[in-house]
Amino acid sequence: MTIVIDELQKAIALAQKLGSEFADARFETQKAKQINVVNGSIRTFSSTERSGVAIRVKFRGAWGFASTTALTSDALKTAVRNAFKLAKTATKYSKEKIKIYETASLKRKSKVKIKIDPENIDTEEKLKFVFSLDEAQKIADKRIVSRTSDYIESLKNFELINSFGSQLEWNEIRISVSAMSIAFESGKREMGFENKRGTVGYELVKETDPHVFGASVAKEAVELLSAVKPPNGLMTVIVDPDIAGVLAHEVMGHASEADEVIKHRSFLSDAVGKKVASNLVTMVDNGTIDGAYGSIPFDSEGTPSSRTTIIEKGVYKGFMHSLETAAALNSTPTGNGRTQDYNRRVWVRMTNTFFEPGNWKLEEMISDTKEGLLALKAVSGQEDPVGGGFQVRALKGYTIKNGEKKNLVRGFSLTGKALEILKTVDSVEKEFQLCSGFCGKGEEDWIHVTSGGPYMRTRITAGGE
Amino acid sequence: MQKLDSLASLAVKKAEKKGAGQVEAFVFNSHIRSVYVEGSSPHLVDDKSENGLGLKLCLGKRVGFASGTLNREKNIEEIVNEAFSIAKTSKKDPYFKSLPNPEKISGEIKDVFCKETGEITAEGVVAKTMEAVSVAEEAKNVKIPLGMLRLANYSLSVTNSLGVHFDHKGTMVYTYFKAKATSGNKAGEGIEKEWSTRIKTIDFERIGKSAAEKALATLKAETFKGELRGISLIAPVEASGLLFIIEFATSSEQVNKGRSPWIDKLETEVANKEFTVEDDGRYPGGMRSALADDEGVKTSRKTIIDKGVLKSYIYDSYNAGIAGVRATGNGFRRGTSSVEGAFTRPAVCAFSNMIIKHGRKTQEEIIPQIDRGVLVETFAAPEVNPVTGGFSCEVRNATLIEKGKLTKHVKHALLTGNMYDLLKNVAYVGNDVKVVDSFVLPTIAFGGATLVG
Repeated sequence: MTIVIDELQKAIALAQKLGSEFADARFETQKAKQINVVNGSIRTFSSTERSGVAIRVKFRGAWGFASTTALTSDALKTAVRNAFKLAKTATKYSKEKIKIYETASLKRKSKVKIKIDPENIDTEEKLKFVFSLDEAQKIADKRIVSRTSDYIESLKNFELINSFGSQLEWNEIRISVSAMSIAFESGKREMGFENKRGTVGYELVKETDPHVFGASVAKEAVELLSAVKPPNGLMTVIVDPDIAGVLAHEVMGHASEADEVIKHRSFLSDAVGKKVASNLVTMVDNGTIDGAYGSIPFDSEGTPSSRTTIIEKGVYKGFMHSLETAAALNSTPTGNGRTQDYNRRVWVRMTNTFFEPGNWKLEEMISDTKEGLLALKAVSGQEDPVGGGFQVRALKGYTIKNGEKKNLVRGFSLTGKALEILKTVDSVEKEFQLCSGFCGKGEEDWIHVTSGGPYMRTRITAGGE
Repeated sequence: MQKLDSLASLAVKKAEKKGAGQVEAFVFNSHIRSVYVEGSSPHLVDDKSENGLGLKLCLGKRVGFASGTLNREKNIEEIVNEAFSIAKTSKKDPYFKSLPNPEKISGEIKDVFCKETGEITAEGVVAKTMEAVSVAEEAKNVKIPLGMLRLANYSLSVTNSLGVHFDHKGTMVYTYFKAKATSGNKAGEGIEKEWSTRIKTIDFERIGKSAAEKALATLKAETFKGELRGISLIAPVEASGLLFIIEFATSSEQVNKGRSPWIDKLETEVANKEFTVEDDGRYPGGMRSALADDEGVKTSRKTIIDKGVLKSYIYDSYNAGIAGVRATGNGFRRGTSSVEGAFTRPAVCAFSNMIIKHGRKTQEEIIPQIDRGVLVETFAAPEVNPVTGGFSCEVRNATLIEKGKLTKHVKHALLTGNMYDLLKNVAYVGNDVKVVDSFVLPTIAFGGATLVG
């Protein structure tokens, strides 16, 4: 489904005629295909294609927003009038008037660089991959009682017009493969999981051996059956890139979204220029990394994505911005005004958010630790931009005693104040890894992101049963 | 736009003409209006409409699902072709038995559709939202940095080639407000959330006042140190996050996949006798209440856990086929905090409304019975590993209970335990029933968890 760019131009012209201070119109088509195999048979084989137009209108410092899946000229005009009317209603109650950063007109077309277009690959080949992933888990161990294997391809096309004269067209292509095994023995169930995702083409699948991938997931679940109770209390913890990423994203990242600063909901509001972490800590948000799951050519407002330094050698540097927050804080847009789809609002969101690598090897970090915990794989984490509290659930870990990795421990939580954790970071690995996932803000509005970093050693409170 | 039922029938006919065996069409229309509050002001007001079709098409045991937005008749043709192409290339699913057969669906459910909610003007929506903001900000040093009110009216039509035909329309209201209290360099947040099918049941004045009180209480909270093993009294919104494991454990999907820890546990004790759970698809005012589920299977009221004993799993049609039983009206696509995009997914096995049978005592009457414990009002995120039951949730706002009295406000602690074990240690069930998402539940007191500082 396509819509001619002229229709979007007409919508913007109407918004301007009605008296809008700013307006943009974004047409998007989102296509996705999913193959889900459970215990040797296809549970879901589905395809979806959604198209819609989102129209934003700013009038006297308030936003009106309308979206429609009816893609006729008349429907777009109705949506513009609706959005204008809603902005007029909102402005009557607005105490603070919204400003917007005025950008130069930008006219560009951008195509994502991929090696293999997933739409050119036979379905048979995709099915074969997912079934191989399932089979690898099955044959790995008799104690595997449940297997789930997934392949998802997502193709998005965007056209955006705004009243600054910008006219943009771009696309995003993402591939995801994942597996989850559940092992059972003596009344106890444990799970293992893994995924590979990227803003890439089908080459991601070609480069993945499903037999190795599936077997490792099954092995993880089986090994956890014999894991022991984790230690509790404040201790030295080496967190893996996944868990470091949760700290970067959920606490430091969300609190560095400038809209939270404006709403006085960020514990980092007054942190610019201050020392917030040990010298070993540098953290960035970078939407331009080739192939990373959170990378985007433009955000949903048409601002090119960029690299934003948030912490540099322990000193807090600044925030991520949309057009609106850049104007409010007298800064510049960073390409972080993102939205889930045409049904959702634009607000400041992350892309790829991570700690930069340091100088240590993981083995050196372990051998340098007298007593502690190696925390591996984040199962879940929660944002706390107001309080700066860190909470993450780790799938597993290992105790460390006298410089050696000892017992495998089952799932536990890590918690503490983010700044206290970052100030006690005393070693950072030289390798680096991004972990992909989905970010919600306020429990919804899901977007593709990555978070990550190197292994990092610090002091955190651990707790689990 | 044609009527939804005629679009669904048209899709089924087109698929049959193309050579499909069984076919199911689900047409969904949503109209959503929201107000987002930022910095004490209505920051953005929206109006969104979406029409879409989800089509399940079977060629024997090969099943394909395709979906898309609808803006012209050709879309139906495209979606049928896509579903056909998927089914044709798919592998046989040995577990697939049949789409649901038609059955007589009758009755009436109160409060699933509210005309006033569907017709309220943008002005009215903004005014109600700002009422909560104004009341909250009457409290000294309290602001509402973030809030939202969302109203949706939706219609659905599900038709299948075996003769199932079901139409339904409903309304949905979801709202939350985050209040922030400050004192010197201290800051605390209080959150209030409400779900309803009717705007008039939402008391915006109460929400504003309560969010402010919670925010002010967190200012007094001290970091908890040490370890406390006692009774954990958990407010309904937070308890719903923990009790989600019941949906997981009783879902026939998870049972059939081998993931549920309650496989082979029918007629055995999975909780203690204080605890009874029902699935009631016809609960008046329930967020998922309808005469049939999203596959067109009749809903009903069923006891899932009776005084601690597991009596039944819940079944959508696919998993009922595997188990060789009748579907129980538990195939859903609709969300309960927002409904858009419901057509993009096939129905999955889920509770309609999970009703936790309430007790007789108020929260105030339960507290004096507790010698040592904690009243948890807010977790960072009430998440439990549903496979193992393990949880350790960060407590953001809680009050210690000592010798029957609420004493110190505490924060920065972890409540840890195993939720499946906690169900066997239900100490009290309150009578303060609240609709929370797809749950209807009161405050619940559990033994067996540990608060760790």
